[in-house]
Order: sequence, then C-alpha cells, then structure tokens
Amino acid sequence: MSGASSPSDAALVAAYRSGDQAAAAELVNRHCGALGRYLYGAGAALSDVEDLVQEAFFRAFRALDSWRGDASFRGWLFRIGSNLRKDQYRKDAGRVHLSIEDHEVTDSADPLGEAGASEMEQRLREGLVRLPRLQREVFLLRAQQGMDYEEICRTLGTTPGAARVHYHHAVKRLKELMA
Amino acid sequence: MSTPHIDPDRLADSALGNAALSDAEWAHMAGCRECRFEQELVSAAGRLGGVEVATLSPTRVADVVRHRLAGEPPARRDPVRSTWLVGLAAAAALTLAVWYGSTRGSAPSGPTAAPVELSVLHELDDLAEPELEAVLESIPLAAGAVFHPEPATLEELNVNDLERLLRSMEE
Repeated sequence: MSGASSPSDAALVAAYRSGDQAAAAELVNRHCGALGRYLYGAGAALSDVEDLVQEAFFRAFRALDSWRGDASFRGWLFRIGSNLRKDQYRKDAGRVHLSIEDHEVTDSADPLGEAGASEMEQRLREGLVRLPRLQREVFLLRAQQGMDYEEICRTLGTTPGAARVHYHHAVKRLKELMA
Repeated sequence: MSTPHIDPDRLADSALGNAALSDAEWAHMAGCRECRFEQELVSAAGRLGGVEVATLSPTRVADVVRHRLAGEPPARRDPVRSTWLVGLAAAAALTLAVWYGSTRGSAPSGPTAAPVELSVLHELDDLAEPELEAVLESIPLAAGAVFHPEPATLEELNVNDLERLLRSMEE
C-alpha cells in the first residue's frame, strides 16, 4: 500500500483478501462518509445511519468473494446500502424520518451556531422522500455522489438510458415539490 | 425570444465541477429563474448530509466491522453513552431501593420509625437501555422522591439528598 498515488479500491480489496486488515480500514475510511450521506439523503434517520453503514460494510466484506469487479466497489457497497435502506423502510411500514432529532443533532454538532442544514437542503430532503425509490436513488447517486450513468446503472441494476430518464423525472418532480 | 433551458445533465456536471457552462448558458441562466433554481437544487444535493453525517467515525465503523467479521462482540461504540447507562443503572437501583422502602407498609412512620434497610441492586448494571427504562417506568415513585441519576451509592449522597431520600420513605 505504498507509492505516490493512493491504491485503487480494487487493489485494496485484493490486499484485504490476502489478509491486510489495514486495507479494509482504508476502504471504510474512503466510503464511510459518502455512504452515510447517501443513506441520510434517502430518508434514513440520522440515528440509524451509523448502524446501516456498519451493516453495509459488514455484508460487503463478508461477501467479497461474490464481488466480481465488473461494478466498482463503491457502487457495489452502495447497492448493499440501498437494499438495507429498502428493507428498513419496509420494516418501518413506510415511515420516513424527517424528525426533530435530525435538527437537534445537527445543532449540537455545530458549535459555532450556524444552521446545520440550509433550508434548501432540508426542503430537498423532504422532497426526496416523496419520490419513487428509483428516482430518488438515481438522483442521489448522480447529484450527491457524482456518479455517471454507467456507474449508476451497474449500482442499481438498470440501464444507462433508464437511469437518465429517472434522473430527469426526479429533477422535474423535485422542482415542482420545492417550488 | 427565449433560449431553451439548460440540460439537467449539464447543470449537474457543472455543479459537480465536471463541466464548465458556456457563455451562452450563463447568459441564459441570468435570465431564467427555473434554471437557476435547478442549479441550486443540484448544488444542495451535493452538500446534503455533509454536516449531519460529519460525526460518523470511519475508525469506529471499521473497528465494529472488523470485530463482527472476526466473530467477536464489538466494543461499546460510545463511551459517553456507556457512562450515561451506568448512571441510569445506578438511578434505577436507587429508585428501586426507595420504592422498596416506601412500600413496606408495616414500617411505622414518624420520628420513631425504624431505619429502613437500603440496598443498591448491582444486577441492574448489566441491563440494556430499553430494559432500564422499562424498569424505571414500572416503578411508582414515592411522593416527593427525587430522581438523582448521579450518585451510585448511598455513601456518595450529600446531606440534603439523604434527608430527601429518608423523607420520601417516611411518606
């Protein structure tokens, strides 16, 4: 794991498979925050985000042999996280979490007293939970995570054309909901 | 005559820093409220959760995952919460002791009342948070009893707390 440039995810996965625990820690370090933000944007309660992230990494590392490398490790991890969120949503009977707790935790984590989430971001999150799941996930992967359509379609198991349509519909619907 | 709206993918790429809008597109943006709103929307998506999830610790996540993969019980992830749980256990033990004393109907009240034996139930230390809360909720607090989560033993009570505790048992 030395060298001027940081190793690729695939190299870290290979290192972990050969027993390098530090490689796993580096993969967590690389993707933990982004996955947490994605799950939060998808409507997970802030208090559940860490458990979901832990579970996603646990399942990913446990099933690394089934990762063939045709999708990015990030996309594969996000797919696991997305499925976990979907299961949790079903268990919660469709409840979405836009509770006061989110604001409270935000405030306590903001010692300077600045607003944790801008009004725009809060309205966006409220709008996102009203979108169909695929539209919401495509929008988040594209606009929040910066994935291109190729990566999105490998992550969500759809086609680039369908992903593009979902994204355009999501943007249109969000503009209507937030106008 | 109005120019067509900017393609959503162009706006997304621009917000992500993957593309620069042309002069014509900027000119359109200046006069198009809808496109400006869409750009704000995509920019907000890029920031979404950044502050809220900032407390998520990769080190802690990696540690828990490593322990789980090794089949070991993960270490408690939040020392602050653990301390709070110990306090809650102590409070539950103390409350149980107060309740036990207050429900001993045969004990005479008044200045000649026999001293009531108090005991702290250390068995409660191992209970999880929901179980402790259930225990606390199931105990009817004696009138005037005061809930003090801090002291773990009677020796740690100050004079005022002891007096309040004794008064609550006499009532």
